[in-house]
Amino acid sequence: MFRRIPRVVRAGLVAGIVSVYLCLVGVVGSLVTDVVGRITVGRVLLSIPAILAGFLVARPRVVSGEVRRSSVRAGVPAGAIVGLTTGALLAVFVGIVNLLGVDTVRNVFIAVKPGLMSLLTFGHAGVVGSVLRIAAEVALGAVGGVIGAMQDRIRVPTVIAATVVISLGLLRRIVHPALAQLGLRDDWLFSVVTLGLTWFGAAAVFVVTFVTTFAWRANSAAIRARTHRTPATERGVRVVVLAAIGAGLIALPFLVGSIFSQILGTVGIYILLGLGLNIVVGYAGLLDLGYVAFFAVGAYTTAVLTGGSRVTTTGYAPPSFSLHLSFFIAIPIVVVVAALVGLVIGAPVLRLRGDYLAIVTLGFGEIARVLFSSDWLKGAFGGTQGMTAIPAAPIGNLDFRNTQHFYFLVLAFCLIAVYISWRLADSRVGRAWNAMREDEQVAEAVGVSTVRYKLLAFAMGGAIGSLGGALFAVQVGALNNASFMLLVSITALAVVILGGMGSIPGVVVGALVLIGIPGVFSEFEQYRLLLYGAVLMAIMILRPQGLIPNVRRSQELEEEDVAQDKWAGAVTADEHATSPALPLGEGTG
Amino acid sequence: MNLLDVQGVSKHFGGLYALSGLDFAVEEGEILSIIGPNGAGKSTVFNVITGLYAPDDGDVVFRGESIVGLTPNQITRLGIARTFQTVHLFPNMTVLENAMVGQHCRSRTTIFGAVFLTPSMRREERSIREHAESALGFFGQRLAGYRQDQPAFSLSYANRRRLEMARALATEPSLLLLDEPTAGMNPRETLELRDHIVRMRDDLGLTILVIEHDMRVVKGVSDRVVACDYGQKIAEGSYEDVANDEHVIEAYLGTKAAG
Repeated sequence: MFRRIPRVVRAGLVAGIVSVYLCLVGVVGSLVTDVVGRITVGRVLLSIPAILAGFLVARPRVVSGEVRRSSVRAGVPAGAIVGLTTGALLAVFVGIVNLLGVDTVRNVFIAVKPGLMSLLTFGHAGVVGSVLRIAAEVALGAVGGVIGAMQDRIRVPTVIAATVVISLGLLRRIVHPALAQLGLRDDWLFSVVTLGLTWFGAAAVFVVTFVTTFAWRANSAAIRARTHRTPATERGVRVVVLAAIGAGLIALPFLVGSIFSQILGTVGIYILLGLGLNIVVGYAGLLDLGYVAFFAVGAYTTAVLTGGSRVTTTGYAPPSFSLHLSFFIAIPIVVVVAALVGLVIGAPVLRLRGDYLAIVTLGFGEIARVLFSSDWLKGAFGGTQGMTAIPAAPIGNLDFRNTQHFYFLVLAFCLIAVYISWRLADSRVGRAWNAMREDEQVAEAVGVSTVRYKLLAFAMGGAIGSLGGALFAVQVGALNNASFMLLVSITALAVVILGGMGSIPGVVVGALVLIGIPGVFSEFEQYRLLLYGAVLMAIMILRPQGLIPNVRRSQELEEEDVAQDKWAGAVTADEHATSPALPLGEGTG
Repeated sequence: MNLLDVQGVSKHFGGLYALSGLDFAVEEGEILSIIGPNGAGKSTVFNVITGLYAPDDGDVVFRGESIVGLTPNQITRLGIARTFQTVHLFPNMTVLENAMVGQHCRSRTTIFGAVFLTPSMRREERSIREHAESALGFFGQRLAGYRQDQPAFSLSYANRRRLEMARALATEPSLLLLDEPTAGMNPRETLELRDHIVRMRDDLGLTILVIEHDMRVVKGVSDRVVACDYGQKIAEGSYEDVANDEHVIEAYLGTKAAG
């Protein structure tokens, strides 16, 4: 039935539902940081659904192998109709809330406050407010339509510039200290009052970004064509790029300051978890939902070996078994212990596959958390109160507790883990794992001992993951079971899936996106899980092979896509013959 | 001496007897075909030999030693390789990597060797690659050149079958088990494959046990033929003997109506 509604109205309805949803969960009303002038994050987010929907109906489409571009004359009304629908839905929402009374609604949806209502109606009560909201949404939809109808060479720089402006508006805390350190004034850019961008600053950033992107896109091909590429220059370019990345990695913590170095440290910890889990899930194809067990083992083993104290009701006490090793001497022991735990977890699940394996490992993850916080092992691990006073990792007079120094410790561990993952992928061991992932029974028949290689995957994945736990213990200096919830396993898995299963760069990017972005844009902290859900859904629909796919796996998914598209195309073609579709946005351009 | 002895092997699934006291032997250097109507237990005997199924009764003896109870990978290591009735490749790995997995049981590199790039690991990796390439090279240009770096799923059906055989060859077997190697191939490919099977024995010195339905292939390659029905051997001997055996004709065509 939904399919019988004209496309523009459908898009508008979806945008309207998303807008209402954003209002209800509080994203619009409670995110009050100013981005540009007095426009808050909430308002920016509220305007996105209509713009996006307007864009989607007006963007160029490929119809039977031919690109159909909308003209602005067709794009604007299409976008406006989208906006009208979105606005109408929001007006209905406002009407219902007013009818029931804000306080009644608030009993259920605590985010619905008078402030939100006045934001939606621009401070006008009754019909005027609703009309204003509808008009605003029509305008936003039309803007989306215009963007959709633009030529690529204008649209791409526009979108990039807008994204940069909005991001910059949220990043004062990171940009301001960095600029200050370089001795640059930024009061023209950031308003001292709102802490967001000034209108002048926003316009300047927009124009500069637009012009640079535009010029780059127009000329990069020409420049590339002009410079003669030989293997020698290619190698030179690669060396320069690597050197630049290296220098950037070293300079990064000093540029961004200590708060953001801490976020980078956490990103690094999740890169380690992701790389370890990537061996288990991506290489060997064993879906492990209890990966937090290794994180916990790494953290608690480090705490015990380096001389952390357990928290008691009366104060601190040493655990029943305690050594005072240096962190760097403890690490090899931690790794061995984690690998052994990997064997212990792996052994009982050797015969399980797929969903069953996932469920059982999920249980193991919980068992690990419960054991570490149990009264039974209270003497060793401090029970629910956990452990504290975990020493830092000293080398000379560096102790890596300082977040900027800690970053380098994490960086070193990540580089080691990346190297190991990379070497393993292209070796006899990696091939055996891949073969097992592809078809366990056949791998066995071709001579791969699946028992041995499953255990090896769990041990190896556990060992790398435990490094993340060990660093976590050093980073926070105190542990309790709240740090080892199921969410850690899920996040690590999301990092692997988002980046692309089996892909090392994918893990890095996945961790940056899922841990780094919510950390940097701390406004969204309370909506982190909402964001995860949305991002994962989007990935599954738009790019199931992950952001940076492992080359081969992606090809198969794409082939499947082509086949599915053909099938879907055939189905919709039938449908078009029977249902009236509004021929909008299909002018020439 | 017999390379492989299948002695009174029985295997049942619930009430269904797939094999009941099957006996036959494979001599070193021969090509032995197993024929029989659908459901005669031909593939089951392959699965028992390669360790995928444990027999309920009887023994499988390879080079004078029982291999019952060994895992499939141990049996492969001893020198028995197989292909499957329906093609089973590692579809997302490249053609070359598929063959390289075959060399797994002939190599030893561990995690430490792989991570620390030891000289012996590099040497072994080179040898794995060479062996895999030569296994692929058995099929001439079919699996050569750019194809080696393509994912296995991109191959044509016939090439997938060839790759599966190349992967089996890469395990350096002495006994090769082929389960309906020409199923789904066109007549030209079938003829080509028939020559390949003969060459595997003549050039590579393999002993081959083959399940086949195409009687031209059976006739063309077999030194001896074993015919099965209901999990038992009903005839054995040269192709002509077996083809004219009345039990075999009965198994394929049924008995004449009385009168």
